[in-house]
Amino acid sequence: MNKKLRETLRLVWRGLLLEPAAYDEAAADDNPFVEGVFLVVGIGILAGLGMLIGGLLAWATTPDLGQIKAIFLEALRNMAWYDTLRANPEALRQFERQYELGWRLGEFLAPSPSQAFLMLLLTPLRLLLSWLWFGLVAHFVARLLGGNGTLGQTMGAAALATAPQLLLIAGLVPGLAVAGIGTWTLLTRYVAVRRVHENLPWPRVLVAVLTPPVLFILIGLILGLLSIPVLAGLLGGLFA
Amino acid sequence: MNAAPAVPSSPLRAWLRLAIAALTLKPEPYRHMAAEPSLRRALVIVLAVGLLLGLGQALVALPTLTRSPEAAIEAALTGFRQGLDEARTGMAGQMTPEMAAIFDTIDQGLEAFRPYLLQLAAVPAPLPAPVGRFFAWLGDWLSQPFALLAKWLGISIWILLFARLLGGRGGLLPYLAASSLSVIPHLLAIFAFIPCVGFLLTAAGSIWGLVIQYKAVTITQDLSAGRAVAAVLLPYLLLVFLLVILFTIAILLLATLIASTGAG
Repeated sequence: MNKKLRETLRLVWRGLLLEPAAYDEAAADDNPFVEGVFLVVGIGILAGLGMLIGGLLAWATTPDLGQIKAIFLEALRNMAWYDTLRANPEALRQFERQYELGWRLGEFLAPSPSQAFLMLLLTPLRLLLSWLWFGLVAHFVARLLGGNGTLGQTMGAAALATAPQLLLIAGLVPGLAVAGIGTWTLLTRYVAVRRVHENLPWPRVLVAVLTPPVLFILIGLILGLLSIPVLAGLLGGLFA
Repeated sequence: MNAAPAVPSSPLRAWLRLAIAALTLKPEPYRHMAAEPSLRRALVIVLAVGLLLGLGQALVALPTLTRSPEAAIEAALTGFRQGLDEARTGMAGQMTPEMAAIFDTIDQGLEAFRPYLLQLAAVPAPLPAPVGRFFAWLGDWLSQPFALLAKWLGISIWILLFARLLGGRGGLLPYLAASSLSVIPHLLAIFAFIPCVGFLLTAAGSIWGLVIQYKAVTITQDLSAGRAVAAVLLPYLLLVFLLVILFTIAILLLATLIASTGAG
């Protein structure tokens, strides 16, 4: 294995274990921003590969949904209450539409090869955007609170704080629920900001670390509320 | 002072000695873990306990791997019917004819559904069914260490936060290293499948875990006994408080909705 790659893997491992010196090294890099991009994308690709394999295995072990849908409908049609439904053509039409809609949603959520390959592409992208958002907002807040680190240092250390996302590789076993990544990431991010803005007391570091996710949730809620009329219009059209 | 337990580097005996010393609340293992803070060692403890916990359940579920779909459906139907019978027996005094009719309808529905369930079980997947069953079994087992890790990290950061707010002065890594010992009593949950006793043992394991968290806080955060107890219990009190508020809001919303529907 190439020496640089081996060193990077060792750094990621130490970052995962919350070793403060690893974050100092990531922050002190000549070009922490570019290194950060490579680190985050690399972690994203590894995690995405795990999810790709897991997604393909999940698809390969899931029975054919089309057949399940047909058997289930036949079973429902042979039940006593279905005769009552048959007597009312409008109710029957509504039921069939809802049944079809439910299965369409199920087919959309069910594991598929296209979904698995999409995860391979989306995981690095998601991590990259998450890193940029966290690094920029946390740095801004830390500086506002009196922190003395530079943007490059914050971005470098924040890139290493993405390390817990490597646990997503475990997703290659279908049905395995990988929990704890969020909390672990919170801890790595705390150590990252604490090492870069070393003059800040811990409560301020905590504020800087928590602001990006809280702000993200708030923006999401506002956008969600604003999009309700649009969604209602779309769904109304679908049911009409 | 007693000699510090051996570093749990490799031999199983050293690990067992460390676990027993931690479970009996001797200060040495906590001091030892905090003195050389390493998340690696803490993770080994948490993941090993999680794997052992999951192994108990995995062994119990082992027969399902080789069970035919017909037998699995029969077992599920039998279980459901037993539940219905228990509900019938429990409501024996208050059973109205309407309720009895509902029970009969469910019973007949189950019987009518049986052939379709067998058809559903025979629907093919790209890989043979036993492969799917094996992955489901493996996934369930391997999810346990992650669940325990999430639980331990989640509660530990809250306890550390309260410990700091109450004047604690220790670092993050020494506390996490020492608090990882709190997952060891959770091994009692292996017996969770035993009726009644299993629940009591699981609860005892959780309380024991809290006592170990208290020990980890006193040793790593240099707090008085009272403050350490507060640091350990406040996250749970906060959780109960939040749940009560959420429950009250939900009840109020539901009452408002019912009232407005009634008025309309």
